[in-house]
Amino acid sequence: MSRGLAIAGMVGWLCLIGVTVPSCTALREPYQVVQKADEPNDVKVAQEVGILLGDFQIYQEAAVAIGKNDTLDASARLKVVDSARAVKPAMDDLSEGLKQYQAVKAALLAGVTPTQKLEVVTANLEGWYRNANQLFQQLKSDVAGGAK
Amino acid sequence: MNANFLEIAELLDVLGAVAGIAKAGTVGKVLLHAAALVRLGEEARARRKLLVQQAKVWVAEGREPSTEEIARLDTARDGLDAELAVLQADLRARVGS
Repeated sequence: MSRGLAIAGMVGWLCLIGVTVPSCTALREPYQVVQKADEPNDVKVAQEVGILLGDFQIYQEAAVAIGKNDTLDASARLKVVDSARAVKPAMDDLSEGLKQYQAVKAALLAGVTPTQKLEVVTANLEGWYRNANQLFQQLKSDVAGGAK
Repeated sequence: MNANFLEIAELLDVLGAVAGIAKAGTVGKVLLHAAALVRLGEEARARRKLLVQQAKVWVAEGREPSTEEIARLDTARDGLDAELAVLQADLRARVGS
């Protein structure tokens, strides 16, 4: 193993175990998107849904990478893969909810459906979002907790 | 309302926990795991930056994910799940569950 790889590995390991080194700060930088205060609630919800679907995709990609990593224990890899697959149906529901919302919004803009229907479908979408997000947060916690 | 992204630190915590039970006990192998995890973390971080940029466009333009963007997310999610299904079957066979 080269000295460079060893140093990179050590820095990474220190980051993982919570030691403060300069490069960890960059890794731990939170990514935030500040939404406009005057944005209608339904638009904010739809943006949040898009973000969660994208976040889940990143988690899936990480799970595939872990699942293929032969240097890791097979049971640990299986746990991550299982968890990523378990939340997928909730994300599918969320995506369907977003499409339903967008169909109603298009109908509203075309003047063929009442405003109340948009409120209902937005409330439904928020419910799907809460459910999917809760499952997503739980799976991350389960994977981390179960592996300790 | 702020849209909080999953911090990369959380992802690294998960990866670190996985490495924790997979570690072989030799310094060299632990370093190898750490290097692989850092690489994975960097890749995830780069992907997350793209997602943040996309979300900032939605917010700046006051719009929602488009039909095409949702379709791309659907396609990617299904494709990754298919890959995970193959890995799941293989890993289950290995651990005998």
